[in-house]
Amino acid sequence: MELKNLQESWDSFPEVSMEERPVLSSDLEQIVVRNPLSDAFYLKNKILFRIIIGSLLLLYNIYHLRALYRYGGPDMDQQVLLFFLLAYFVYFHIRLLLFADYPTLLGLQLIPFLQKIETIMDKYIFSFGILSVLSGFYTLMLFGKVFYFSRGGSSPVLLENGVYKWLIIIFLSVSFYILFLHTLIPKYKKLLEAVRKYKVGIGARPQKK
Amino acid sequence: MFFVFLGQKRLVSLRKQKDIDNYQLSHFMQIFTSHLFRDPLPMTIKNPYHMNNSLKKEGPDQDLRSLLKSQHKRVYSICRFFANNYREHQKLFADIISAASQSIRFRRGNDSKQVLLLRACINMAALHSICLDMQPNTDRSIQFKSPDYQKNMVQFRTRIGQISDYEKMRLFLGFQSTSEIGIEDLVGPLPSKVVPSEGVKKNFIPYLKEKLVWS
Repeated sequence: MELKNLQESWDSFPEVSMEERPVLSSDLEQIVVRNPLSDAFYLKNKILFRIIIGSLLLLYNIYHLRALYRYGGPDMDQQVLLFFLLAYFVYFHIRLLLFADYPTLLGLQLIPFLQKIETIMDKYIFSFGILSVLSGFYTLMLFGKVFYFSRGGSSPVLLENGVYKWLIIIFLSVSFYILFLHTLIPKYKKLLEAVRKYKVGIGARPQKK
Repeated sequence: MFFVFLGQKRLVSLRKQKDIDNYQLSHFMQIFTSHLFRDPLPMTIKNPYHMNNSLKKEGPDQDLRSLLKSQHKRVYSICRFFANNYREHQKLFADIISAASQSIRFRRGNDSKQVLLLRACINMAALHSICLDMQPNTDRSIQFKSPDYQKNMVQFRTRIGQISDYEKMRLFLGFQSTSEIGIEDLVGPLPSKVVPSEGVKKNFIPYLKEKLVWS
């Protein structure tokens, strides 16, 4: 009975008035298709940017490793680890981009669509961990260069000592992760929680608000 | 800048040729360079295709524009359930049209255009709800300028009460009288409410599988 009343109410619904109708049927031809996903849901450009930067750094790292291999150098172990990290970083983001498959994302069923968005967000948040480790490495290298030029060609002993060097890298990586945790990550975490909550609540009984 | 230079150079060389009939390529270059660098040069480029796929090389099987024009009332209908004012209504409508256009253009598999349109409606409505939930201080009262529409919206919302979005989607589908398309086609399998028992540790292999295989 209630459904019948609703149907009657639905059928008697007026058209939206001309001033309120967002787009007229004839105007549909003029609509330029834009990206329907909002900034936080659409990570394609950010992932692409990271892939490009990561690939460039990887190429430079390979060149540097080659030079170290031929002529020798003190930080071979650091560069080898950096190579693996960068390779994983690029692989991870390419995989994420292929997984996201943004052009077909909106054609999925609702639950798989939400699950996919959830996974993308989750992995993107995880990627900040790798990013913070890379930031640690490159900040130390930057410090090394700054010291090298400011002291007229001699690098500090602290950076040449293996144990201290690794401790500084760990300290910088953790610091960067804490920085990301308080600046960039909360936005994505909030979104991830909202998507999860919605997905769980989608099949729930009438909500009491 | 190198790519812009290459793009522009390519355009100039094309224009020099007398038989410039490759309309699509020149537009592609313009759109490509402007999208890549957020229009660094003062170019006023209009998208020549809009939502129309009739200019595609392989030829249209069914004009997307015609489909959306014939089906746009369905998009209005879902907005009745999820939009509370004109601004939301306008944004949701444009988002759904864009989403439907995108998913129909890049479709894979055997899903029909009708199904993809309805999925775009439901997915964008869900995202709209999620965004609204993230802004707890948003005014959710119904505010439309047209008195008739406002009255009907208030009555309709009062009648349906505080139902879940899933129920709204079911109602929407019911009102659209699409007997061949079920709610399962649009929503998919609902997540099971199985509560993992405490104290049971995951074995190494399932844990690794969960981490490595994204689903």
